[in-house]
Amino acid sequence: MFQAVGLTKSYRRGRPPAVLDLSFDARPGQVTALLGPVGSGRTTALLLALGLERGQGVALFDGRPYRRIKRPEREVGAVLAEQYRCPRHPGRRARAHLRMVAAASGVTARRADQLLEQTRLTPAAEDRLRSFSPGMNRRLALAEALLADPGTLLLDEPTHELSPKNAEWFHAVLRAFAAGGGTVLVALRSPQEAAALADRVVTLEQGRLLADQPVGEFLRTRLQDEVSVSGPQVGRLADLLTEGGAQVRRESGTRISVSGASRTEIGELAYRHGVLLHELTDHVVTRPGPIPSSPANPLSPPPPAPAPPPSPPRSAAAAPLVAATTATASAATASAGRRAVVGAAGETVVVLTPGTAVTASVAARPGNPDQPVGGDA
Amino acid sequence: MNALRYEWRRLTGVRSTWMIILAVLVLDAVVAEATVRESVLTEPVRVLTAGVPLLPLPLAALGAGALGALSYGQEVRYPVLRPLLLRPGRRIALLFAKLTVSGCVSVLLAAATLAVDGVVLHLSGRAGGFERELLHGRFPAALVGFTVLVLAGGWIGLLAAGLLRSAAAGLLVLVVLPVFVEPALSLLRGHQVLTGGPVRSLGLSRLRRLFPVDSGHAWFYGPLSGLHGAVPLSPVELALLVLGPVLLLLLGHAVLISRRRGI
Repeated sequence: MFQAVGLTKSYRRGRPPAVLDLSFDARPGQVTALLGPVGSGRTTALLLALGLERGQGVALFDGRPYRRIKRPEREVGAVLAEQYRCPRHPGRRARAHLRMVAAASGVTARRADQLLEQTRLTPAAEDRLRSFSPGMNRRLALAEALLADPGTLLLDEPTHELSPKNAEWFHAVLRAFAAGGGTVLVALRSPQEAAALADRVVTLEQGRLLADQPVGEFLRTRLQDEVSVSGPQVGRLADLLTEGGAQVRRESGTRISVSGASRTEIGELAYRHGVLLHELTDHVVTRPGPIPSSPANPLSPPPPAPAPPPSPPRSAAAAPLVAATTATASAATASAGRRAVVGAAGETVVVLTPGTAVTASVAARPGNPDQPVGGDA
Repeated sequence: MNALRYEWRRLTGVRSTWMIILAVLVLDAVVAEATVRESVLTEPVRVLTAGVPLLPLPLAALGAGALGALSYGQEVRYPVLRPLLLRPGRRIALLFAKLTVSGCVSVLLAAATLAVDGVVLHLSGRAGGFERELLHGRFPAALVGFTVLVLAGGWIGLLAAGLLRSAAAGLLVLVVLPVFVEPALSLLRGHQVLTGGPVRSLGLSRLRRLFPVDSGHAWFYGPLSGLHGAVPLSPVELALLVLGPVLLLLLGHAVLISRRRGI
């Protein structure tokens, strides 16, 4: 059982905090994903949890902070990103290296050989580490973490930039570890991977907790199936689909993204109306998450400065529109999504001013600002 | 955590360890052979310890220092144990394991140096008198001093690399230590002229006295490898000069080891 309570890493001189008041649990028997884009503070959160970075808040492993555990290697195994970049002595042989770490962890050399076998590194056991591929390095890092048979695993992007085969192997191992009663906390950047691997997804955004959901809820609320359609006459198809009740987003003149209709339905519709299609593919997009439950923090970074007016002739015309939509947006703030909450309502609208059509769409659909309105601008 | 076993595997798992030991022994043999060939210089202790007047420390001490410095340098450069070393108790255990292993290796290196150079001396056929003295139990005290110097060299490299978190810095401290101790020593002993030569003028030569790097210089660790010393020192003073830096660095570790987060 891993509990993070109020993990915070703040800097001096006005830099925004890397992690701010992050609290979540990782339960035994489950894989918990710490999901966030690059720079959202996943790695910092893991380092804070282990006490390798100074910060505020506590992280408890079965009720004790990492520094208070007498034999930490028997309780927590860590596979950190720094071990991929600046790994091990390149001149050491894999077996000698793992036996060395085994000695440091207080387990026998036989256990090291056993783990080499489990991580499928036995054929390369006598190779020097400079000849190891990134995938082999990650497997070796996992073997090091598992040496003393810990109950909790902390991993920082174990499958990033790995081949699908290696990534699949990692997923299988982590799932098996969790199925055996272990706690797995894995930092990831890909929502699709989180959906495939984890039982529970903790989403981070700019160091803050955005959502802490079971994977089913995560799939429902954060991931959306879309169909990407391209062809010379997609404009007509878009109108037909909108009439049929699907949501259509224009990517460019010849490409639209449709949600709410399956690939088959779109293809049949196009065929019936004689619309020529060049491409029809499924893909998954991430929707911006729900509003962070905590109120705006005084430590949070200031909202970005309003963009300057796009061009002199248009700004004069845009000014009244800005005023009109500001009122609409602020009225809708209560149910509005992240875009409208991050800054004040007025700024959101200023960002959207370059295209008047966009401004109009915001005004027309105040309750649904999550719609990616930037497409037309 | 089995720190001793870890340290032993760390030391023997890389090629650089064996390369350094081999290089030291080969250089020792070469220097001893060159010394034997110059008939003027055949002082047995100097041949046995392969003393070079140019170097502030014997070759074996430098090799032991390099091994010690790499010991901590590798921990810093390849931080595999970083999560395991968060508790100060473990860092202390690791430090003592490193001191033990480094000490054993240094003593063995000194013994191997003496053995290799002894073979060179024996083959030269000029060691008859010296070997007879050894058989009668008259063992030169300088050889014990030499072993202690090699041991201290290994420890100084190790401790300095741990304090400064870099192998190069550790080795650098070991090399420049005699250079900096010597002027301090001369000041303490009442402005004695160390180099022996006439350095009465100001300017460059005075500067040279402060940084005594030339081939004709007599280092104060010299008597331990059969060279002439800079200052006549009693054995107690010599022992203090050899072990003092080790104690100072240990004190630094004692102050810092619990305040740091890693090594």
